[in-house]
Amino acid sequence: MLNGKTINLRLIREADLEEMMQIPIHGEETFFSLYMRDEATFRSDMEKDGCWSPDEGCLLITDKQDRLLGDIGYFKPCPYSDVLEIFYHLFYPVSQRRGIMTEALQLLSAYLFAMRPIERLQIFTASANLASRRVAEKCGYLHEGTHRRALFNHGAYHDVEVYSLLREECKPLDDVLLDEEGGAQ
Amino acid sequence: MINGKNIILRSVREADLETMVELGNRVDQIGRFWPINLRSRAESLKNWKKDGLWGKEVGLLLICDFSGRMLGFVARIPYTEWSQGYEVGATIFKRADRGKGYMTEAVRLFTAYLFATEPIPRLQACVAVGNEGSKRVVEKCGFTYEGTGRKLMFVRGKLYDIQYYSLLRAECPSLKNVIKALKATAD
Repeated sequence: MLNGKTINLRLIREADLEEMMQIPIHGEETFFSLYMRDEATFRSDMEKDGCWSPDEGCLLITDKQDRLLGDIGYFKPCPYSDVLEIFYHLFYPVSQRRGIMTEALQLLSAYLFAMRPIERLQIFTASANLASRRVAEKCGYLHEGTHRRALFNHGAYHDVEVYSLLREECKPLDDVLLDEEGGAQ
Repeated sequence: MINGKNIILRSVREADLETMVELGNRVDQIGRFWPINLRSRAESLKNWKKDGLWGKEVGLLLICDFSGRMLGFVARIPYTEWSQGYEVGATIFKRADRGKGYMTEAVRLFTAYLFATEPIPRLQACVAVGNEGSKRVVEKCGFTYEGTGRKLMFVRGKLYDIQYYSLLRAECPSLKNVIKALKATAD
């Protein structure tokens, strides 16, 4: 588990299935908002590797009472590069604009650079998804360009913004973790 | 098989694999910005038996001249799991065959063919900063520069920045017109 100051990141458990199956699709024009979860895929992913492997991993974002807020994870998008791509998603609109995702992204970015000898993390967000772009920018990700018509979502093709963070631009893990006494390290 | 002016594009036959592996493994000849990992014959045969190297994931066509000599290949890969387009890559095996327009002709034919056969909105090409040859190829083929990804590709001991290029459906001429235009140009 990654203990942040106001949130935690932890591995998914079998028991999370019930709540995750009931996350409403609210129709907002964000990246994951139309994603339909299914039980068989959830169970087979959990059985295979608990949704945590070198090529692909997903963690739940929870508050300090272990209530689910969203998920954040990574995958290896490119066969000829070690780069990892990060995705993130809040489950409920009520959690927006509270800095939750910014903290989650800081934690995961710092953790991945600490755990693996990679030089670059990248994020793709729909151009219209201003909230998601703000999260990336607040965590120090640099805008690199716009991929035209790269994403099909909500019935149409959309432009996508590319962001990246290099190792030397990332906050150290100790700066974003909580220490045992409850203060920052 | 697709007949151009100086080249043909065709899918890989079993008898091609040996030559392909041999040419592709010449580290002295491989382009400065192309991966130099060696491929075994066993791995190539296994991949070929799966889908003829023309499957849902990788789709590869050989570039040959009209005498049948293998010059290189052009390929499509899905460039990320959430997107519908492909990334296009190409290589010419031997140094002596570069700079003759073979790759440009292959990419023109290949991109037009992909837009003709698949409901994709875009094709992407990634060109390492410093790879002037490939940059000229994609620009001649109508691709537009979209940005530069930092430290994206590790080749020959060094991490390179990569320039993103893309070609949208509306920017690519039809296969028929590409072939017509190629044949109308003088040598």
